[in-house]
Amino acid sequence: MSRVVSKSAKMKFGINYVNTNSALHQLNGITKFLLFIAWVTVVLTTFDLRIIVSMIIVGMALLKISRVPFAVYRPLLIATASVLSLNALFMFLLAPSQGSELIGSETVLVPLWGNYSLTQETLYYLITVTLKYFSMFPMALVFVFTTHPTEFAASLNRLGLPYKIAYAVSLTLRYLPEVKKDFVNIMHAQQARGVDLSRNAPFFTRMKNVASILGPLIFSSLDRADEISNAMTLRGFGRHKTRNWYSLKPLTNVDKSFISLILLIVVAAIAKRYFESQLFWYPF
Amino acid sequence: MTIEFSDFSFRYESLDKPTLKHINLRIEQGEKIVIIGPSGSGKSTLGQCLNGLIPEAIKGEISGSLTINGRASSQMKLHHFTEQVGTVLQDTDSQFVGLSIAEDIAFALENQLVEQQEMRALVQSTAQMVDLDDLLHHSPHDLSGGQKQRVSLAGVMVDDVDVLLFDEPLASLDPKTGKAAIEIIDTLHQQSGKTTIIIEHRLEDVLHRPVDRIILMDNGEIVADLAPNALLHSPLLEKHGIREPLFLSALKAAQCDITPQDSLANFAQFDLTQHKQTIQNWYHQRPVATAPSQAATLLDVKGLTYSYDGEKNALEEVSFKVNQGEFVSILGKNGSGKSTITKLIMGVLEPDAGHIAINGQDLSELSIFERSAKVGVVMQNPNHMISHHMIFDEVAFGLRNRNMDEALVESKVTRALELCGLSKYRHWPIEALSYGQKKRVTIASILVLEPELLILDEPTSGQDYRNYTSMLAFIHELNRELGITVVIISHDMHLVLEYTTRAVVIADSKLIANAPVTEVFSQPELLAKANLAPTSLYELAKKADIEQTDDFMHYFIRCEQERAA
Repeated sequence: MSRVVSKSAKMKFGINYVNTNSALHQLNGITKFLLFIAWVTVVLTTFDLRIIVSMIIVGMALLKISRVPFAVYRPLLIATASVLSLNALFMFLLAPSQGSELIGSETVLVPLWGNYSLTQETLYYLITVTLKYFSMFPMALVFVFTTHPTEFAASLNRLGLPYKIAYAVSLTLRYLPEVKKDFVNIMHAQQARGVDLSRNAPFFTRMKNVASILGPLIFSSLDRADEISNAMTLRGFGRHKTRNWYSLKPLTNVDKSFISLILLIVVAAIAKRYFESQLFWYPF
Repeated sequence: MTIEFSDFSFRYESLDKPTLKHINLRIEQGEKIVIIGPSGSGKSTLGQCLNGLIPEAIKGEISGSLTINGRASSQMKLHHFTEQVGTVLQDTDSQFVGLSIAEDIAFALENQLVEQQEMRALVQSTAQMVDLDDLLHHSPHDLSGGQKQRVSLAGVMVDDVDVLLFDEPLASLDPKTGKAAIEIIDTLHQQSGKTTIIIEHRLEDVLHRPVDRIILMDNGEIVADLAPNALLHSPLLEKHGIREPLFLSALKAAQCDITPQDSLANFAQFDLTQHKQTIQNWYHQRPVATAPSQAATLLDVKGLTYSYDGEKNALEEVSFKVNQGEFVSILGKNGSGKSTITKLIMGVLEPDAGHIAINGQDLSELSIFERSAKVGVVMQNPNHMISHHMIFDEVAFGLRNRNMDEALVESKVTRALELCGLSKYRHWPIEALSYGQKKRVTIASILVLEPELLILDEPTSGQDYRNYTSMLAFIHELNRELGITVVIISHDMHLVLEYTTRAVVIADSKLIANAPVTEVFSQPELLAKANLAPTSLYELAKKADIEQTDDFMHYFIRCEQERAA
C-alpha cells in the first residue's frame, strides 16, 4: 500500500540565510552582529517586563521586516515556545515559591498541596523569566536570516578575528549540506544491511548503531577536508598575513547611526541596572 | 614559457617505491596535450608536481629536475607555481569553497589582496568568459555538475595563469556535459593561447576536440609521447589498458586496413570511402538475430511518483518491468531521479504514489532489512558502505545481523570472497585496499546476502577502464552463471552499450524510453533529452550508409564479447 504524504509534511524549514533583499539585508554584517550582541546584553541586564515585552514586539516587527515567510520559522517558533514552557514548569516544580521570595509578598491564586500553592508572584516571576528568554529568539533569527555567512565571516575578520578562523565559519556552512548528504547515504547503506535505526530498536542498540555510521562519516569527511585544503592552497589561501573579502560591505551612514543608537541603548540599560533599587518591576 | 622534466623521479614519503620514474618530458608554450594512463600510472602525481602541491603540501623525495619557464622547481615557492599553473580539480565540489559563484571566482583574488572594486570587475569579466555572468549570486547547491566545473575554471582563469591543468575533468560529468566541457577548454585554448594539459583516462571523450600530443603513462613511466593519430594506430592503448575509440574498435573488427595517416583522432574528418565496402561486407555476414525468450517478471514498478520537497516531483508516474535474469540499465542525466528509484526500492524513501513489487510481492509490506534479502544495492561510493576494519567482518556484517549461525556465516563469506577474487585478502584490513578493491568488497558484502536483484549505482565512477572491465566482466558472469538479475544506473555510454541489453531512460523525472540499448542509442534526439550523446559507433554506421544502426551496434558488441571470451 502506498501512502500519500501530505505536501505540507515535506515543507523544508531551515535556519540559514534567506535572501529577500529587505531593508535589514542591506545593513552591514557588523551592524547586525553588534545589534545581536547588544540585544543579548540588554536582555541579560533586565527583569523588567515592560522592557522585555517591548523587545519581543520590536523583535517580531524586525522579523516581519526581514520578509522571511512565516512558514520557514514556524516549526522553530513552536519548538522554542514548548521548550521554554517546559523549562518554566520545571522551575516551578523545583522551587515553587521562588517568585514570592524574590518579590517579598504572597498572594495565593490556586491552593495546592504542600508549598506547591501557585502564588500570583510566582506566576508573574515565571512569565517574566520565560519571556525574557524568549525575547532573544526573534533577534537571533533576524541575524541568521539576514546576514550572509561570508559577509559575517568578513565582519568577524574586520572586528579582529584572524581570517583563517573567520573563513572556517564560512567553510563550515558551505560544506554542512555535503556532510549531511554523506550521512544520509551511509545511514541508508547501513539500514539496508540490517542496522536498525528506528524506534523499534532498544535505546542502547540504537546508540551503538548510530555510532557505526560515525566511523565512515568521519573518514569520508577527513578525505574531503584534505582535498578542500589542497584546493585552497592551490588558489593561494594562507599566502599573506591578511586577505581581502569580496563580500565585505563598507559601513554606510545608516549603519553608523544604527550602531550609535545601539550603543546608547546598551549604556542606558546598564545604567538602569546599576541605579535601580528593585530588580523586578512588579506593579501589583 | 616551457615546462621541462628531465630524469625526474618522485617517491611519496609513505611509499617504498617511486611513483614517478625517470620522466623526460618537454611541453612548449601554447601546446595542448593529454596525459593518459590507467589508475596508479602516476599521471595525477605528475600533475601535482606541476602545480606545486608536490613537494610543498605533499611530502616525498625528488630526484632529477623540473624547470618551469627556465626556473628550477627546487628554487620555487608554492605561490610561484600557482601564479603560473592553474589547476581545475577532479572533484569540483571540493574546489568550490565560496558560498556563491562570484565569491568562489574571487577566492584567489581575495588571497592576493586585490582591491574590492578591481576584484568585482575581474569576476564579472571572467564569469562572462565561461558564460556564468547571469548566475553570479547562485549558491553551489543550485548548480549542475557542468556549471560547477565552469566555476572552477573561472576561479583559475581569474588569476591570469600561463598553464591550465585539468585533472580528470570528465570524471563526474554526463556525456553531453562532458562534450561541452571539452569544447569550452578548446575554445579557451584557442582564444588565450595558454598551455593546456588535460589528465584523463577517457581518451575518446577528450579527443572530441583536437589535441597536439598524447602522453601515455603506465607504472610511473612515460610509455609513449606521440601525435594522436600515431598513438591510436599503435597497439599501445590496448596494451596499457586504455579504451580506444569505439569506431576504431569497429574498424579493426571489420578488418579495415587503417594507416597512421588516417584521421583517427578526429572521426568527423575521417575518410571512410575506401573502407565502406569492407564494413558493409562485415555487417552483412552477421547471423540472424534471435528474439530473446520471455522470462517471468522480477521487478515491477508501477506509477512511481516521489517528491523531496512536496513541490517538484523527482519522479513522476514511472513504470517499468525487469525480467528474471535480465541485465538492464537505467540512464539519465545527474539529478534526473535515477538514484531516487534505487532509494524507493531499498525502502529508505516511501513513494508518494505507485507500487513496487518483486516476484509479485508488494515491497511496502516489507521493512528495509527484509527488502535487502531480495534487493542488494551497491552504492556509488564504497567509503559510504564500509563500516568495519577487517574485510571478513565487513562482508559478514549483513549475515550476522540476521543472527545466522557463525559456522554458516564463515562458509558463505568465504564463498562470496572467492567469487569476488578477494580470498587472499580475507584477513586484511580494509584500509590496505585500493578504491577498486574496496568496490569489490562492497559487492561481496551484498552478494553474500543472496539477493534476487542486484542494483549497481554508477559502478564505473572512480575506476579506470582496466578495473571496471574486470569488475563488470565478473558481474556479467554472475548474471549468466547464477542468473542474478542486474540493474545498473549509469551515464557511461560504453559500459551500458557493452553489458546491458535493455535501457530505461529517465529525463526530467519522467520515463522517456524503455527499449533495447542499441535501439535507444540509435536515437540521437532521445539521447540528447537525457544529456547523453550518440557514440562514434552510431556515427560510423551512418557514415557507412547502414540504415539499421541498432543491428550494426548489436553485431559489433557480440563480436567484442566473443573476442573477449
